[in-house]
Amino acid sequence: MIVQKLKEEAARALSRKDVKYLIGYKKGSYGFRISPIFIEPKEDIDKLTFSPLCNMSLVKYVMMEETLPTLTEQAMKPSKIALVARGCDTRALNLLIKEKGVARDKLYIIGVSCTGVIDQRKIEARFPEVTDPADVIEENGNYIITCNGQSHTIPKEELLADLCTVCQYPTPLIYDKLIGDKAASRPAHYDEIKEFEQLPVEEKLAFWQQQFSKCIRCYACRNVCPLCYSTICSMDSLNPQWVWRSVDTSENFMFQIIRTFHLAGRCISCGECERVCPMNLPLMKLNRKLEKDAKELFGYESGKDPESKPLLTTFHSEDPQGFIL
Amino acid sequence: MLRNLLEFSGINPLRLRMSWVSASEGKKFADIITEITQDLKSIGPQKAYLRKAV
Repeated sequence: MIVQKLKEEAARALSRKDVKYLIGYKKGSYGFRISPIFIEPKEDIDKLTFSPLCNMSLVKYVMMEETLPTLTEQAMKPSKIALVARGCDTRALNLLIKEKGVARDKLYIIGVSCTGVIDQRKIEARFPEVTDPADVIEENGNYIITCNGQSHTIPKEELLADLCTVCQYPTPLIYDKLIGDKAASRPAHYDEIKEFEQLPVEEKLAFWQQQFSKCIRCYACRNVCPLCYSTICSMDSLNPQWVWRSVDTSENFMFQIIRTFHLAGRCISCGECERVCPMNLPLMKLNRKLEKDAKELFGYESGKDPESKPLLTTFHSEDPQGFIL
Repeated sequence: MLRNLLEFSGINPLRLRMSWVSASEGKKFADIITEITQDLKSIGPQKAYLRKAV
């Protein structure tokens, strides 16, 4: 059992002297929700769990960790954070380490081989009335869902998150301990992006205008993104004020284009932005478009290789230069 | 990539242009500006995403 192994590894990690706490998943308070859990050494690890419901990324919590002001204080405290990470999370970590957003020696990564997670919206549409914490296990390509005292068997593909169906790296790429066997990677494709590209400009404009008019600028997509970790965000800047704070289609458009472009060649397709969006904007459509371009034009995949340099900081004379007229 | 992204989100790609012009290439600069002005005239003003006047 993965959960049993995870608990063993967690206990082992927490018994290390240099680990200050562990970030993992626990069952949420109702329905199919999952919450993050922070366990300090000597605390109970019984609540720790892992299931196909674990669809949130924990990397952001590492980025939110406060650095103590002086080196002496930093040296006095144990420095490592133990983290339960899935394939996509380790891609984010790879990129963060490369960008020096986080140091590898500050992390103790417990990699969990992930066979795909459930889309919260899909499962809640299927079982709208569930209030007690529910259980989900995966077995032979089916999900066995136990909720309200009943057990249901549902084919995996019906509930799987869309991004997981094109996930190439379900097995963690970097880890200190790996749990579970290597998961089979699925072929990546960009069919829906290619389809959308074929539309005339006016239709695309109409589609996005309609979408961006819904945005309420809660900045949830920015706040949840493991790769948006600037301490001063261009959205909050008042001098110069790049984007007005009013919620308006033009400002929303500007915000989303800036947000997407800051992830150009960086987005690792964890789908967090789309998951947390209260207005259901198809944000991954923009991100995946850039991902596709990075792959097709420059043969670059973000977070795959910790050695390669970030895409937008490198220049090769053989790079495509069609944009220079 | 920005050009591709803008096109993807419904902005005519003719509106964005990047060129290298050295300080000694006055003729090239003039030509490029003339070209982009003609392009813009041919597609007209961008009516969508107009910022509201305060």
